[in-house]
Amino acid sequence: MTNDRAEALRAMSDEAFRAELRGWLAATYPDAWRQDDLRPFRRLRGADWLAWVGMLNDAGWRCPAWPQAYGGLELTFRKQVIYQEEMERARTARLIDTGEVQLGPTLMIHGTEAQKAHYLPAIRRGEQVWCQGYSEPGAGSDLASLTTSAEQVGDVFRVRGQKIWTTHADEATHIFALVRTSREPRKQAGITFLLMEMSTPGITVRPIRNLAGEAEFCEVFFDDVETPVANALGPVGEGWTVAKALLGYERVWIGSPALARRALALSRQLLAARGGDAGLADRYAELAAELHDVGALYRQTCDAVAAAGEPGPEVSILKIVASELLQRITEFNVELAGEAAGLTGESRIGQVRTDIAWQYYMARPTTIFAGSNEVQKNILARAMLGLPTG
Amino acid sequence: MTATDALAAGDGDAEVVAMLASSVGAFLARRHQRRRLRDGTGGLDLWREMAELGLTGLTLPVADGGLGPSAVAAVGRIFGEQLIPEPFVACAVMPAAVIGALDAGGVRDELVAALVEGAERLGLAWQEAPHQMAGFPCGCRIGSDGRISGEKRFVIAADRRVLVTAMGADGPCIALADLAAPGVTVVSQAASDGAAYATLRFEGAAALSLIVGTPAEVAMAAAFDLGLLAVAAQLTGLADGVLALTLEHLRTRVQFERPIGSFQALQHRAVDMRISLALAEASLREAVRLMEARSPHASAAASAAKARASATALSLTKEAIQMHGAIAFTEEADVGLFARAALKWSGYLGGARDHRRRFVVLGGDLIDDE
Repeated sequence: MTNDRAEALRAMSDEAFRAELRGWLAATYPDAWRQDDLRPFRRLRGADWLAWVGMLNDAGWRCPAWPQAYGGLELTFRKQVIYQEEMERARTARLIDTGEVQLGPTLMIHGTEAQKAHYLPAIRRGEQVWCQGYSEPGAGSDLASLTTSAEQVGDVFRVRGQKIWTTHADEATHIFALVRTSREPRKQAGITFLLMEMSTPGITVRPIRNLAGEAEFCEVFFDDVETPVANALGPVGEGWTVAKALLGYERVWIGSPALARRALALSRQLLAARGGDAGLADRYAELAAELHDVGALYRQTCDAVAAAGEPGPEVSILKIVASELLQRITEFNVELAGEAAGLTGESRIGQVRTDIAWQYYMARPTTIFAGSNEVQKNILARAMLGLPTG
Repeated sequence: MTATDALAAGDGDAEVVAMLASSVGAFLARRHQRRRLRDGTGGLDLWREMAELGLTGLTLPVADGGLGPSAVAAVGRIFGEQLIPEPFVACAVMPAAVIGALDAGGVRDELVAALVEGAERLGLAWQEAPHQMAGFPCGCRIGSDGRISGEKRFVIAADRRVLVTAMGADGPCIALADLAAPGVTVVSQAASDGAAYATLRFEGAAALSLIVGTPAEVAMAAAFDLGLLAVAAQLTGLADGVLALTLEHLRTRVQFERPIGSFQALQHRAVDMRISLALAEASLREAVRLMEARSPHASAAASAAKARASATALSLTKEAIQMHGAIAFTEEADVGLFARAALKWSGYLGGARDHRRRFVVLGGDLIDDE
């Protein structure tokens, strides 16, 4: 199966592709959804999320990395990079789409034909909104110590336990979760990757208010939730391996300095509004030069991945530097704002309409999620530097 | 090919540059030992051999055998990694960029020959004060009679002659002066990388005007940016070298019955060192790319690379000393040689703060918003 839209995009030169997307975004993207000084890291939620996914789908911009066989655009990695760059350039809001980015590619590798046919088209059309049930109160960085259990009873699994930090679970229609189906000496064994509908009896979602006062992540409770055995993705007991296949290019995108760029644009506005001294100008220059260097590393790593086809361990460096730089810039903005950093909600600094505390809070989790920076450093110490284990 | 290999590939004529780098690396590994940094720096013979490899004329025009910014960066990295004390930046990269810009004719031919044959180390005396970030305007004066007056500082290792920047009746000028001529005083002081810094005092010394006005300004600016690129490359190579030394120590030094590199506190610091190096490499590559492309942003990128490399070399050598423990504070430990060279090169042609400021002044912070 091919699709004319995907073929047309694939036939374009990289520059023509860039111009096409840039033009469409300029003509179509609503200003109200753009990242700005008030919400430099804006994300779409709820109805806005559904509307934007619908717009992308209708205009033929949905699922750039997916193969055409599953309705994707099957873009080269180079064009995927351009796709990300143009979205960032237009300051589009972040779209957290776990179904497209994480579950979809995993289904393509490990799913049965029936699973692929059931889930993939619905994910692409935005009819299914997925969340990821990995972390538990007792299993964070040490994810393999998870205890949510699934006991096989006839042709169903009976699931008991709790997930936490589940992003957007309150808006999701489905959840993919790692559950323990047997106890084995190696804790990575005996884990199963399970697909469930959020409407299944026994699933309860409790939103957690975060430091910024928003309900972004949730607790998800499973009280004797029954789900068909056929909803296991990949072999029962092999869920750890199935989950690891998720990584892929996700590790590259997460290292983009796009958010740091938005935060530094705010620094520039604040510096102009308040007037700076030499010390502040030097701090700004240091952060601006660092953003330049991190941007160069990001683009070069993308080029290298495009040439090699596969990200190596060094892409973890991107996640570390992009998140740490983002935090430092938001801290600089706190310093520039002075007393206004203590205000809750919108404030005006000169002509700048902003929310200093929000940008500071929202930068905190970037060094924690998707493998904390400390865990990334453990991995780099072994995989990249060849240092001995203890 | 792995992603890491692909990252290592540069711009320009990658194959020629790779061959050059490989032969230079092998040559220097054979001809240079670190003890030279303690025993003295060696004479003109080694410089002549470097010239035979083409290292002294890399920034000349292609027609004169030049190879451009990517070759400068590749060779600079090797000089840094192996701590080569020969004045690659001061007596090859910068003067060659000026000489290449001269009008065709007798003096140019003679100077090009002196460069590419390695017959002498020609200096470029442009700086008059610390933190100076441009060659022109300057305090040195040249009269219509070709006599120069003024003082130049932080001049490195010229044997016989220097190119001198001065202001004349027609504006900026670069002239050629003989260090042995009457009216020239040279005061040298040993510097931490094994090559001396000199202060040159000109009191009505005779000099030959080579290039004046806007062409002189353009030539000096090109020499400065290429010099920045080359020192940034040396500092990045130095950081690479000292990290390799430190990782080897972490893998082999045993305390508490374990290699100390198995301790998480040290692992994370070692990763931080590697991350700093990755950023220095990225910034250097970006500067090479923009300079090869003759981008209007090339100067800003050269400053970013110099700033990053200066900060990285200083921080990595400090970390290396700490991780090596007491031995690092001795004269005999090689780690100290890296620290000494880092101290010299990180400030040479401007330090991290100077270049971050220049980066912003040149609009480098707005490149990505275009």
